[in-house]
Amino acid sequence: MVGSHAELFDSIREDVLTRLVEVRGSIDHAYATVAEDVIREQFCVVLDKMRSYLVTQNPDLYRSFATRWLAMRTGQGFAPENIIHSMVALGNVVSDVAKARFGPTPEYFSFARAMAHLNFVATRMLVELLAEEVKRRSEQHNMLSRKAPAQKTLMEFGK
Amino acid sequence: MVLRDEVLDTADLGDPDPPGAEIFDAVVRALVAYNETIPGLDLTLHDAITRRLAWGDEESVVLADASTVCDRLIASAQRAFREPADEMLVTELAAEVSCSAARIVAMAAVGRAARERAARLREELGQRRLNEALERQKAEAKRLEISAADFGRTLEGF
Amino acid sequence: MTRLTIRAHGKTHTGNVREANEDSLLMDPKLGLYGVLDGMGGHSAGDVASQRARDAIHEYVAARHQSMAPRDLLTAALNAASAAVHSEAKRRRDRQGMGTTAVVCLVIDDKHVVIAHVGDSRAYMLRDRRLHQLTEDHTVVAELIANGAISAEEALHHPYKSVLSRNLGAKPATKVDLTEVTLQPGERIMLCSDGLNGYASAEAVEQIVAGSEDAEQSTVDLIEIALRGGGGDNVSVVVLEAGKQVVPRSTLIIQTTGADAWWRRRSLFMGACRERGLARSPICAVLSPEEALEIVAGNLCEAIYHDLEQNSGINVWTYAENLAKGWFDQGGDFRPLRDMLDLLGSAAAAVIADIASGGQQFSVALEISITRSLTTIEMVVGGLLAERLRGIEAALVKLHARAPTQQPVTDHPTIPYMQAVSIEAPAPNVAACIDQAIPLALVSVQDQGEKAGARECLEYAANSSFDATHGNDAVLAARELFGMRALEEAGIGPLLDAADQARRAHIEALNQLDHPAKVRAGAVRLVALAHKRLFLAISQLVVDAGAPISDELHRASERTSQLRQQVAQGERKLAKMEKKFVTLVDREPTDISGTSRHK
Repeated sequence: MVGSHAELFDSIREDVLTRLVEVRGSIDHAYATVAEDVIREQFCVVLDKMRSYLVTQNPDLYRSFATRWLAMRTGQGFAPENIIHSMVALGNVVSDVAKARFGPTPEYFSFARAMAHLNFVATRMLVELLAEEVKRRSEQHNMLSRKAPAQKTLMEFGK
Repeated sequence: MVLRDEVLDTADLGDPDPPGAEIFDAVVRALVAYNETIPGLDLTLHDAITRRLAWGDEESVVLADASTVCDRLIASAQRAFREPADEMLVTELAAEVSCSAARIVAMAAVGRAARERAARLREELGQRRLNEALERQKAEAKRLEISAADFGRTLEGF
Repeated sequence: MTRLTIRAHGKTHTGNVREANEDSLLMDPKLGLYGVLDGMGGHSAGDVASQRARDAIHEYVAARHQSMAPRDLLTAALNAASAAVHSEAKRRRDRQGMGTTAVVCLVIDDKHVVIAHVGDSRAYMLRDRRLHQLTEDHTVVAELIANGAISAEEALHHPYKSVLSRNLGAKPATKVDLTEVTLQPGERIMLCSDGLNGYASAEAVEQIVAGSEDAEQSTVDLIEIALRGGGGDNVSVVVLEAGKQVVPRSTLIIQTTGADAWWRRRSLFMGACRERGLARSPICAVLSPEEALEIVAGNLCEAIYHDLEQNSGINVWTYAENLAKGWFDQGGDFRPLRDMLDLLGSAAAAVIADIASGGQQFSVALEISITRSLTTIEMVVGGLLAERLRGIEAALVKLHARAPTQQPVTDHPTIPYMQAVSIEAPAPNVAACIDQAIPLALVSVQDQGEKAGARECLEYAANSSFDATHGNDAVLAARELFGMRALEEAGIGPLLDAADQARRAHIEALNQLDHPAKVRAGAVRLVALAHKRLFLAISQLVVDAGAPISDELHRASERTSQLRQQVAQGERKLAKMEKKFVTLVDREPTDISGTSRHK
């Protein structure tokens, strides 16, 4: 079944990519202004990861990718919640395209269950990474708050 | 309005809204409202200058326009008005408005400096994350090589 | 051609912060005309602007809808509204500068919709359960992106990202953007002011518009979600709906039999939560075990049930927000929340396994729906964590970014634009007038509490007015005054105030003197010009003091861009390696049990 999920995924991959590029403005408004070839490349990376997960069911590989994806997108100015939403939206588009192609058949439902599970795992992972980031920054902030003295400008010296 | 064309070089430049128009128009508004209100922030002038800065006009250029319009208006008023009281009023308001414009530019620069300081620090936070991502990429590549070796293959072999 | 029924509903709210509602709604089902307008301008001019524009648009369309083509009609109507608002703004000083945005749609034949807009109020369309934005905001930043002046990334942090480039009322006529769509059954159009997209996340809005029973429920829920998000602005929405979509059979089964199967296993779910120790979670510390089960597990069970019934996600969304936000607001850590969510997920899996074991055909579809509910919960928690992260980063930036005292600017080179000024030497009587005004002005400044710098400003202006050779000293005087100030409002504001005060006191003093008007006029001219030169020189110094900060930001941005490219290249290489690795795994022969023979 794992193998057939990957095969099904491969059979709809081009349609999924076309659809993703079409609706990219709905996935994230900022995508609408990114060049099409750049956005296709980004989506290809995510689709590759999804397929890998469908085959390997290895969350560690996915976690490693999720960390880098989060770093790259936040570095580009995307908000973390938008990054999470985009990942889920990408997964939903895959399921939608599969449904349109295969209809409500047992094969489709099995695939949709695998995709729903993948979306859940991916989202949960991104949330974990965010929580770690929040913890790191909080510790940094606590440390700096203890160190920083109050600063005065000249105006406060009654010039 | 005669003075407007003269002060702003409207006829020469052929533009109904030449640079500095916002200063001149603000002086006119101030004249209309003189003694009705205490001097305060003219929202229209504030919006006009903010818009110029948003569209990429340099602060120096906006300040230069404010200075030029003020100088020309005061010179024109000296020539055009018979009553010294009228001339003094225009002079006072021209100085008031050009200083208001300069204040708007200065405070916009202060705001911009604060935002740029914060943006620089955010860039550095982003760089930290990207450096971490680079480290993880290297570690991941190593791990894949080791895993591939379990299959008796190297990934470069493909 | 199928004729659809269009149903529309609109709602507006002042929000939680503003005192007045400056938004207006336009709803005329007979004409098929709907709109949202967001007014701006101080002293309650905003509501005047939006109402004036709304009435003008309505009058124009009502009078001409049978004689003009829809696109021309809406363009002309919005321009008529702009002229009306502009004219009203000129009539009264307290309404100067008022204006309004507008997004208006005209429905033709219950199928075609023409949308016209000016400003940053928006139109969206729901198609295939996705919300598509139909309009581009008319902000300066959006137009800079369209012109290629800045990138989308730069726009996110642009200082002027909220400044409108167009509105109704700034000029008598304006450029109107038009869009046309053709509706299919079940599709929806949403018009909204920025009070919605500013305070509600895009995913929550999409879920509501896609999942609500009807247009009216949509508008109620959308206002609610904006208020819950802070409600810092007036918020207005109009939702139009085209007929009813045929619901797929599998969805119907979930909505009825599936929801029923879930609800009948409520006690199984609660029991599974009890066994897994829900009541022992720190989140439930203040509750009795029965309360904990009822409130935490019971409410989730009910939320999932309602979402299954309504084919929506809003109930689970609200549940997750209440749970997680409540916990974080109390200062709770993430770990207990994570443990709680995993516990609830595990209990839900037990229910799904029970349904599947009964050989129910719809169990896979039900499992998909419930997994999506659990994903929704994760998304909500992610959003709250992201908000927290932003707060901490802002605090970190504030700690780091206290403005250092500036280097003294006396050593900086001459500011280029300040050209040499030649001043006519004043006539003796004018000079005498200026001379006499100084003591009066100094007293005035002292009376109001000696503002730092006002005295020095007066001294500069007096010297500069007297002596032709002092014309160029505005820059030097400005530098002395600027000194080592911090480049922030607390450092610069008082200096500018002092310069303003000095100018006004000086001119006031001249007006009080008993000299002929012509002489005083000459004195006022020289003094006003001197103060103007000084003020502008100070402003230029402030601008120049920010230049090093811009340079640092530019360098930092370049470095970030380089790093991103490196990461992207690394990602491409890694993707190739992984593909090859996965091929290895895929090809690996398995035995009957499905286990790879490799291990």
